[in-house]
Amino acid sequence: MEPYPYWSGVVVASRRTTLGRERPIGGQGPLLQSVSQQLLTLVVGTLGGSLGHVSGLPAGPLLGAIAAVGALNLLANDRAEVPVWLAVTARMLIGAVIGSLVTRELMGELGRTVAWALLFAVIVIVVGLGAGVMIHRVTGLELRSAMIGACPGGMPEMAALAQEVGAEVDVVLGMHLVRKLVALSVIVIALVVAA
Amino acid sequence: MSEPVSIALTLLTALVGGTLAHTLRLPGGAILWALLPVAALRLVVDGFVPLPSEHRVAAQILIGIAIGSTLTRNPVRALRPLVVPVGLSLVVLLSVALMSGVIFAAVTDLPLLTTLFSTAPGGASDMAAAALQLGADVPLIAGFHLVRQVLIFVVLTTVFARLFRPPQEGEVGR
Repeated sequence: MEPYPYWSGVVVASRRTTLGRERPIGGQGPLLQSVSQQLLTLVVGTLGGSLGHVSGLPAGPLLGAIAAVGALNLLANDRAEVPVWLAVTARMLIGAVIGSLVTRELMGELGRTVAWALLFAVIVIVVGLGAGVMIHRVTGLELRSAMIGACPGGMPEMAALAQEVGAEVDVVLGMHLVRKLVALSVIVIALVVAA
Repeated sequence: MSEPVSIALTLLTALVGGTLAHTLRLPGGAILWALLPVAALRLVVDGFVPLPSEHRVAAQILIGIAIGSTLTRNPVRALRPLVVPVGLSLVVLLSVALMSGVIFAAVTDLPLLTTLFSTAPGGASDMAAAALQLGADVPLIAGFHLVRQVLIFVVLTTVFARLFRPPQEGEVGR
């Protein structure tokens, strides 16, 4: 199987060594192939994410990057590759972004209503976990995936958590996408009615 | 504290916490142990500013790249066998959100519009943008959604740490 499609411009040939191994020639050893793949994946993902961002879609950067890299994977026979440090760095950055939103001013703004905010959060967590267990029992979907998919957390955070704990990321993404679209639709209808 | 110093300290704190968690395989992983020290630092020390929105965009793109490279199915197509139970859980969630908004408005002095936007199970930024158009209390709504998202994340990671063993390399949990 060709490691790269013909249009990518990457030509890999090989010769058989005296030990019977296939050795790539033309300057493309395994390390360089891997680096090239990773670079291509990063560039394509960044372009896709940037397009998603300017599109204004909910979680546009996340969905744009997923769509672009997913398409690359499909077109280039599963050649999308990312360095290990990238996923870990992304998770740290997500954690930093969420943590940075917590400020004394915001807590002050919430004031007495922070108790109601906590109460509501507990309610939706219980409802979400219960729904997750129900979905797991009725459909056989893996429990972690069902719980993360059913709890209404932020989509990038839930996707990152799903990847971290080994859940089915595509199902979790789908469930959150549907939830966001339904909630948005209800809001749009409310806005139209209000206008 | 100047903005560059605030940003640098925030990212450094997240890096230290996240790296420790990843190396020592702490429950909750890099996200939780980047989030908690950053949030604690901001509550204890004055003068921090929120990270610019570009950081959130960059984080989403990086997460999207990592996820996209492993996706084998279209996420919406993956839901086909789950349509009925997922639909049912959405109906329950929306009903609970609506009832909570109405009850909160009744027992507090908050306007109904504000409480409904605060409890709606949509994205925080989407709800805040819509609330802005209708003249609701946007900072309060943003605060409600932030509390929800942070608490959900902390609870889920704690639950998973107790109930499930960490996945092996490349494994999808069962």
